[in-house]
Amino acid sequence: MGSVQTFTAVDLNTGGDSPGGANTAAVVTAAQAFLATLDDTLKAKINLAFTDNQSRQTWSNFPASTVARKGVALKDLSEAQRAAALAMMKVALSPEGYQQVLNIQKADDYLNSLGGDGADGFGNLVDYYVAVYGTPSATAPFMLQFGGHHLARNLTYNGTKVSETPQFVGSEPTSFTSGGQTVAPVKDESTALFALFASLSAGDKAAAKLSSGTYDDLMMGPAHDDGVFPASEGLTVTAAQKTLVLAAIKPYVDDLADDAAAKLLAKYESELGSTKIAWANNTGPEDESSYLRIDGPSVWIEFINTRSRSTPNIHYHSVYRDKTNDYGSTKPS
Amino acid sequence: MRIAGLIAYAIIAFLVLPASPAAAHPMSTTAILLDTGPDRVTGVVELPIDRLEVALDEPLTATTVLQPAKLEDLRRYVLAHTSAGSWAVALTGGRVRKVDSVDHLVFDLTLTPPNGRTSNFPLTYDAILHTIVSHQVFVAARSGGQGDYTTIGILDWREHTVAVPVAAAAASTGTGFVAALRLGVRHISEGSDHLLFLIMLLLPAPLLARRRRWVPGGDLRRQSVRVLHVVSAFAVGHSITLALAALGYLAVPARPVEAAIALSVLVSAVHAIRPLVPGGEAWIAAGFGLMHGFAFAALISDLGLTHGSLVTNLLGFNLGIELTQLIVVALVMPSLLILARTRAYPWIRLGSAGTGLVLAAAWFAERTTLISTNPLNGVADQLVEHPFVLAALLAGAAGTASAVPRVRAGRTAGAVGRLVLPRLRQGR
Repeated sequence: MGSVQTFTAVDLNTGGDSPGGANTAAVVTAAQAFLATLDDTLKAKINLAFTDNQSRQTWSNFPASTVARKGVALKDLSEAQRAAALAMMKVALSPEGYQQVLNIQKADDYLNSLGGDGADGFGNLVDYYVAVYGTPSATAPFMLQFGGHHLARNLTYNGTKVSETPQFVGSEPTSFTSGGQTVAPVKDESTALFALFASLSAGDKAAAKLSSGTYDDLMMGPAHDDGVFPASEGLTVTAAQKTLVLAAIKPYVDDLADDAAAKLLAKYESELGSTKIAWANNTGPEDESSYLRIDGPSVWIEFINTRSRSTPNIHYHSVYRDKTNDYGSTKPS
Repeated sequence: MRIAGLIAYAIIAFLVLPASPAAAHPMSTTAILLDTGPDRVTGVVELPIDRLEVALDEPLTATTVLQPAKLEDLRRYVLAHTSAGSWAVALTGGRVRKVDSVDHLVFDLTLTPPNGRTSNFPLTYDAILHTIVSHQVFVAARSGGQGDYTTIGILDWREHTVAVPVAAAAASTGTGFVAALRLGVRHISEGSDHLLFLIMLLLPAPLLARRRRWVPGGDLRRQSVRVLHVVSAFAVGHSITLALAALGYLAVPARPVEAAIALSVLVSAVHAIRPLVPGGEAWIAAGFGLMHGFAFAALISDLGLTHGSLVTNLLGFNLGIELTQLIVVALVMPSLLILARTRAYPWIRLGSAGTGLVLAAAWFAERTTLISTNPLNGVADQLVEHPFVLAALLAGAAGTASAVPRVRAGRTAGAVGRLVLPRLRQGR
């Protein structure tokens, strides 16, 4: 068999519904600086056409050794080129968002240090790839793609409009020690989400429980880009729950540089009245297969406690999508 | 001898079957790998056992899924969740294979179009998926029975049906007859009990029964005739019941047949230790061959063949079984005939027959539900992993035993042991 995930290109456009506020000029400067460090061979691999939809949609929660990524692996860049690539991401993301990138990369170094089943495929340089789609410009659309095992950053700019989705974050293990410090890459997201579901009354919890079956992974993970989302299920957010729901959405949205993130969060806040929360299996941070969901008119967040053969305990997978702005595109028809 | 049987089985599997489709796919997903041919589509369904556990809400392991009753339950479950438009769907076999270090239950799938000619068809499948909403099923296909599989699609919560394209000409899969022949080879080579039975009967073929003991004797011609008798008797026995049952004249429930086959291995192993009846191996071969024929018929009926093609397929299927038997004989008998001329043979015969006896007893206990899990199933799997090493060992044993004067006991040996001479005399 060829690959384990097939990426069938869907028609993306540039009409996505973004409230704007992007720091596009600064990102363009940083992206140009990165591209300027590349020779023609590397540039041909990294700077791809903005119209290459299939490549733009190529991201995964599997390691790059299992699902090949586009662009070039960090290990194949010189130190200067790698520094420029990371500097580009640092400008585009908030301090929290950038730190999360570094922390998720550290998790792969940690997995590699455990050895065993397929551990060779892990590592902060081996498994992380960078690509730039289109010519970075303050007026024309372009996209930055950075990711690997347990991380997908897809940042699409179009003037002041920006999309940070689809976004995948995960952490295996959920927490580990690196350089004498405890690292928990998805701690902000997981803490707020589990707190939200822990706060539910028995009645609300019953109303939020999904009835359509059981879950062992995300429904809207990689290769689910055709704009079809599951039928809306669960508990419509009550006035009393709004603060905690917003607090659970915030760590995802806040990965983007400040102003755009604030505008986007305000949009999701205005839609809370028609946003649903739902869960399946369990709701505890260490429980088997805890599955949590926030499903709004625009926002879609899924979180699951999953397992692999590399570590003994559950680990986190989470995807954040925007139904009206994934890849900066309106919903494909 | 059991080892030789497994060698034969593994070599046949290696030579005749398509390359193992244990291609990498991520843990906890199902894979359906299809081989499209001109008159049918065959393939395998690989289900991760850990996901089956969740979907069916019951504990399952690589061992428990293979218990006959459980395996039948699971086969029916998967079959009930598989359809292909107006095509006939058959699900057979059932074995455990590690894919990316994860145990998967593997069934053989056969999809037959109503008009006998394949064309594009819809495959609908939702085993596991109907419960685990986030489960994924990778569907891949190839034509001609070789080369890489091409991913056709992924079934998940959105879509439980995928359109399978069938190439207009799939040359090398062959016609119904050749396909049936391949199937015959495949099914007997996957049935280690059938092969073990045959090999237990061949074990004493180079010897003579005297006063309820096996003694060396007979020239090459007589020994060959005895081998021929055993193989022919088994072929006659199983052909009779295979034909009668496949054509619908006889019906026997599967469980007693499976138990009787285990018993046949048991009896033939005892016979290899001490002759039960002089010249009895041909009778044992013919008598229990009838039981084995019922088991083959159960396989062929699972294929959902139309009556028109049944006779052709029956002939092809049976020919495949005979061919496989002959390959086993060709692989095993030369080494046996050489070893039979050495002093080591009684030990080799008793050791092999003893091993066969233990395996057969375990099968019998499992199939009559005296024990719930057979601890010896894994042993056979391990041996099959290294066919050429085992083949070399057997040939090496034959070579060494005949080359070392102290072990060799032939007429031309310079140092014939004093103890051997009377026996040789007795043997003539």
